[in-house]
Amino acid sequence: MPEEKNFKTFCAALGRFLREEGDAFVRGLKKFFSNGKTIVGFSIILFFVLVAIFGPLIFPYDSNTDMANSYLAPSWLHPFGTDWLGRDVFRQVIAGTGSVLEIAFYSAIFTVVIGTVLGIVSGYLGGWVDKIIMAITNIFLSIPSFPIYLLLAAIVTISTPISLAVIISVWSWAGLCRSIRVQIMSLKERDFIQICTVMHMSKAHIIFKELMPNVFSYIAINFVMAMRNAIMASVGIMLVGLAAYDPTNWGAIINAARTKGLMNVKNIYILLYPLVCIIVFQIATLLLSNGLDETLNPRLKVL
Amino acid sequence: MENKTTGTSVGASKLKEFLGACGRFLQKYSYFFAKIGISLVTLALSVIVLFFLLRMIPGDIVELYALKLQNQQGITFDRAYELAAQLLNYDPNENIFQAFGRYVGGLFRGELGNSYLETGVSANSLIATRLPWTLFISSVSLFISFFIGIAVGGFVAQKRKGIANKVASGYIAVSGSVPDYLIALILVIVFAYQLRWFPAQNNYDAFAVTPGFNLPFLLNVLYYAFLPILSYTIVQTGNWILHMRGSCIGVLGEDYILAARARGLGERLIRRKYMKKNALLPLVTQFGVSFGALFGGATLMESIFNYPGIGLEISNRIISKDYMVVQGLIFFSAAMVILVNLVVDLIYPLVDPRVRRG
Amino acid sequence: MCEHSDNIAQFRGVSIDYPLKKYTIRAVTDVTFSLRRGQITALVGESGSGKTTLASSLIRCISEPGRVAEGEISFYGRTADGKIAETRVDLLTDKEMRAFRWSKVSMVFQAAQSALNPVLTVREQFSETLDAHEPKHSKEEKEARFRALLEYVKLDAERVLASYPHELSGGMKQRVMIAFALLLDPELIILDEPTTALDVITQNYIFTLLKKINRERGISMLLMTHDISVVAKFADYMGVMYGGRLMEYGSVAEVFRHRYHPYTRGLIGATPSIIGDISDMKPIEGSPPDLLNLPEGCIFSPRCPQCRAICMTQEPPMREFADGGKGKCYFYREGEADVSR
Repeated sequence: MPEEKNFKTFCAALGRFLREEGDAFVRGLKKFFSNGKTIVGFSIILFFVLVAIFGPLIFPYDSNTDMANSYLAPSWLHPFGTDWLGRDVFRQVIAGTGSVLEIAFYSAIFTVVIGTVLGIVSGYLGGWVDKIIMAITNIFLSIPSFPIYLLLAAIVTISTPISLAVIISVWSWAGLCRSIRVQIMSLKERDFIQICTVMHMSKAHIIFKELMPNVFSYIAINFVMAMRNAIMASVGIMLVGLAAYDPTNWGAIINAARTKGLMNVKNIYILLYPLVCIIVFQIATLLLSNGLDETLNPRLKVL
Repeated sequence: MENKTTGTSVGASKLKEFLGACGRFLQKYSYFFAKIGISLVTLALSVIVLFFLLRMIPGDIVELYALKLQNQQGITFDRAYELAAQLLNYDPNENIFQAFGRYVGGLFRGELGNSYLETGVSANSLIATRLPWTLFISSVSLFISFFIGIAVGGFVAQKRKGIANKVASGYIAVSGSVPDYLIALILVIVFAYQLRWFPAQNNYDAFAVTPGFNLPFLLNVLYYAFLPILSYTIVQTGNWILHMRGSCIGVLGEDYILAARARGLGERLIRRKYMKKNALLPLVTQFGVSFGALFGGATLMESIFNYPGIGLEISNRIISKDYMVVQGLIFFSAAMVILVNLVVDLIYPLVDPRVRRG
Repeated sequence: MCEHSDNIAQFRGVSIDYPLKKYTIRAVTDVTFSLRRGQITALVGESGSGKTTLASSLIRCISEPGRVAEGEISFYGRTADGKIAETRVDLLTDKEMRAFRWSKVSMVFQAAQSALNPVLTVREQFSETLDAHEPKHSKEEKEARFRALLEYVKLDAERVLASYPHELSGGMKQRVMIAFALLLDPELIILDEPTTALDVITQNYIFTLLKKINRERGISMLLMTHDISVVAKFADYMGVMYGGRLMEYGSVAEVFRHRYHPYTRGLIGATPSIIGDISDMKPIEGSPPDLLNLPEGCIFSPRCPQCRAICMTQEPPMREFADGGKGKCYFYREGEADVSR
């Protein structure tokens, strides 16, 4: 009997938990999708993600050359035409979607983790730790990032999206770190953190339970911004001919089309497709981050 | 005896006075000294970072060079290695810290690094010939975009419901979403390759004009720089509009704007002395950031336009693995960015009375 | 015009709207009352009761996107030959309005520190304001005028004129603002919570100074405040605002003595007094009205301790009495004959 009762209370508690959390989740979702920009941005990104996952299954890419069919104009069989080796450009672009998204996603994670952790530590602990971290941040902000991306890409042999993502994020966290630090420093002065300090709560508790949730919206927005930055950087690196581990990556397609285009103008049109993809994707990320900013920081809406 | 004591006490009080004056001087300008100090520390740290970064290169530079010499001159590897070490001013017996010391010594003598691919070429000589072009392109586009940006940004901030603001928002979204080098690529393809209105490489036509202060040369330079400047300007203008509009909207919500209106001041005066003057202040710091972005972005932009500036050198020499020169050029770029930010920090108190000291 | 010589300004049936995207907020509803010449009139009310909006409409400085939707606003100023003439403030063109502002009606803002442009010195701001209205003065004349004003408010004129706003303390800034308000010798000064950000001693000093200006120069004043004790000490007449409506108006002595209106009574009862016990303080139950969702009938009815059936269905009329007092309540001076109809 007591076991049954225990089980019942457990079920009731679980039910309540699920209901409450579910409500919070639904409310969060509603809030998230209450902004038009967020919806449009999110849908476009979702579309690219779906293309990256299911595209290669429906339209598998064949990297074999077929010289007889090179430079074909767009047709039903080859919607984007074929390249100088007779390969289908449409399937190349689809195959490259995943490659681009992987880099963007990984380096956004690395950037946000490094930037947030260092920013919070620096802003919260202050003192010498803060001085040292800020000195390091200053170096990373002062040395222009693009030459370093190229240099690192040349030094390290890049063969996986993760290694490219690491290279990009190593030199992109500094700005985020600095702004998180500023936010943490102003939060630290607020009453509820002061009270926690007076109550001798552990530093870990204050950092993870009190400070983190308050900068979460900022981190979410910066995650999207970091994806933007990673795409700009990775495509740029490939445009110089470095990090050529994946010839279907949009950057690699553009680079190939450009260099081959010097010999044969017909090649140049190939770069239009990945170019348009990049532009559309970047506009989507911008819309998403602006939309998130408007929902999460409502002060902007007063106007 | 008495005389002597007065003598020393006079000396002591003079010294005290002097030290006090020094202290006051330091205190009065502490803002400036702090900023200069931080910049120097950052510069020193970036030397260290760059040095050790370059040491990460797999396969010693000397070895690479020795292999090249071996192939070229048909000598033994040991002999080639010795020769390479000598040419590269590299001592195989010294450890990394001694090497660092020697590198820093070179920096103090103004030697940024020699090329081991081409004799007689160094980071210094490249900077001397290439820097003016990069500075020319980036500063011209920075100023054009800055002035367009603040004019448009200030205008649309006041008419937030108008069609102009919608157009500006669209422009900001698109120009902020297309990487600048892709805009450059589109411009090159359309105007240089397809329409052939503009050249696709170089900074001037060496066969048609003679460098110097003459009109044909200057016009030719502008003609060759047109596309690079245009593509930088397209991207940067959106940025400045965005910042200026945001800053102006913030200022327009301030009480002093309402108070100025209540005092019966004209709208034009309010726009000029109240809105723009206050809104421009935060943009001054943005200037340093933009300059850094332009200087870094030049690496890719210049290689797309084949425009012989610092950026093109950096990307070409990274690909040809001329690392000593790359190290020098990147260090120089970092120093430029640090310097520009320092100048911005130092002149900021002159424009914003709230930060003014003393 | 003779019957108006007692009044410096008059609001007749004024309503002010804030048209927003989805709905329109009526911040001030059908307010009618006069400001007596040479007197200090106070407007009391909780924040959001519309007092600042109403006062700002006198110089058309309502914060965006507020607009006067209905009613008339008149100002009875002296012309060059000393006669009194009516100015319909709500009908002035933008250009006429600019000339009217500050020369006839000036204002001391709630937050003095943010009412001055941070990047201009006090001298520049004084000077450009004078130039905008009277451009013919020589440099020496202007300088002498600024100095006289700043010395009148007991400030070190030399230092203050050359200062930027952030270099002055809060009390100094508020005195600068008062001197600034006197710059063009206006006939009415609007004081928008002029001492909110200041400590008690400075507050007292500022009010003494304002009273002196009122008595010595004969400048009428309109004071907005939520501090009813300030009203008792400082003002001659008072109006009580609630939810954008004028609930009661009368001379300060009368209003405080009789406490006819239940809201006024609540306000006075909610103010701590130095002599009384803290337990004598009675807060008004409930919360201020939501302007988008006003209650039926009298808008104070949900919080009113004397609420009766009629209060919840029909909005009470403004009942006016022969001595100039008036109140918006069915039971205001119950039994007395009103003159409103």
